[in-house]
Amino acid sequence: MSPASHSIPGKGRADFERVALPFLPEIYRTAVGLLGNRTEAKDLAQDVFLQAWKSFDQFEPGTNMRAWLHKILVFRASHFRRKFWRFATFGNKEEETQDIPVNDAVPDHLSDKQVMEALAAVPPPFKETLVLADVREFTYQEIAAMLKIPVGTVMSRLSRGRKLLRAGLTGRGLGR
Amino acid sequence: MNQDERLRRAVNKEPVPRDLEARVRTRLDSGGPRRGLSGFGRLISSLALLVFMLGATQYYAVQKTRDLLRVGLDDHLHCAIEGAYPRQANQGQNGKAAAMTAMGPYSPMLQPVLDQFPGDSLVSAHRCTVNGRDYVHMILRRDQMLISVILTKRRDGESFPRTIIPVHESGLAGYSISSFGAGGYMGYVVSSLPGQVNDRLAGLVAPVVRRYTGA
Repeated sequence: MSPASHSIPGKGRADFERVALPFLPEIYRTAVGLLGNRTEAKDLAQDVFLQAWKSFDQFEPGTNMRAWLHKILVFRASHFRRKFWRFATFGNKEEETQDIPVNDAVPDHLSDKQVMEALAAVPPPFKETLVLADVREFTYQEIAAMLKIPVGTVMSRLSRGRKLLRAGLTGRGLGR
Repeated sequence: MNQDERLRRAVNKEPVPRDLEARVRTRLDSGGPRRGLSGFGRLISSLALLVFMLGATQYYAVQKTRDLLRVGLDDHLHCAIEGAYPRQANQGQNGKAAAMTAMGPYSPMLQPVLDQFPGDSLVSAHRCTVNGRDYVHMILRRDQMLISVILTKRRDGESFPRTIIPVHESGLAGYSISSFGAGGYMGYVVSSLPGQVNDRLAGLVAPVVRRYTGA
């Protein structure tokens, strides 16, 4: 428990649970999208909330709790991801996106599982931008602030992420 | 349904584990908000601690060095300055022979040491005990100044500390003191000469003494 924080109005455990816990399902699902693994996503979600609770005294009441939690999420996710990161593969995929058409329709018969599998195949830097922009609908500026990258980089990563996902969804996925 | 909507639906339909919220609450019970210093504060406090430790180490080194130098100075003050040394210089032709006798088993190093002081005269060479400590002591005269070459057995824990900032001690009690290790002994040259001159003399004497102490 945290007796010191209880003495700060609006910074107690009850306050934290009231403003943060409603986002738990969303954070967990975003974690699944980023990691492609439910067990790791479960651990990551817990980790995010523990970290958020530890840093709750730095959170400014009235600001965007949802964005704050997602910022912690993408930062912590990088630790979970590291062991899967392969730079060589990453480089090749980046080049191959040049040839992927952007106007192919997404087949209607695809299951959610197949969509998630296609998402899992997108390299991390593009995937996190894709999830934050197209799933969580954060603005470019919000994503740039979360990832500490320029807005232009957000836009280019999103464009490539979409192409890569489309390639996966239309059966032209890389490595298939 | 376009790609964005398809992706959004797939992610948002992901079932949330039933026990997740309970697990989060348990984790929250185990950890609290960070209190005390921020990351920057911790960095500053770590640096302050590092500086303090370096300072304390240096202070200890300076103090220990001063104590060890004092060992040589005490003998110089007792014998050369206070005049408690045997007056062998007054014994004419027999002076050197008397000095050799007074040095006992250390007598073979007398002449080689004297060779390092051309132009200086031997005043006394002897073994003595000051403050319960045994010394081998050679005293020479240069003009009106006395120069002591001193040797004493090293005791447990008596070694000059290694320091990040080199310790240079040349002004203890107004005397120049230069010390050197010589195997199981500590050697000193103590005089009223300028520090650099005194250090140079110690540099000449040290290898000679080491030959006789097995260092």
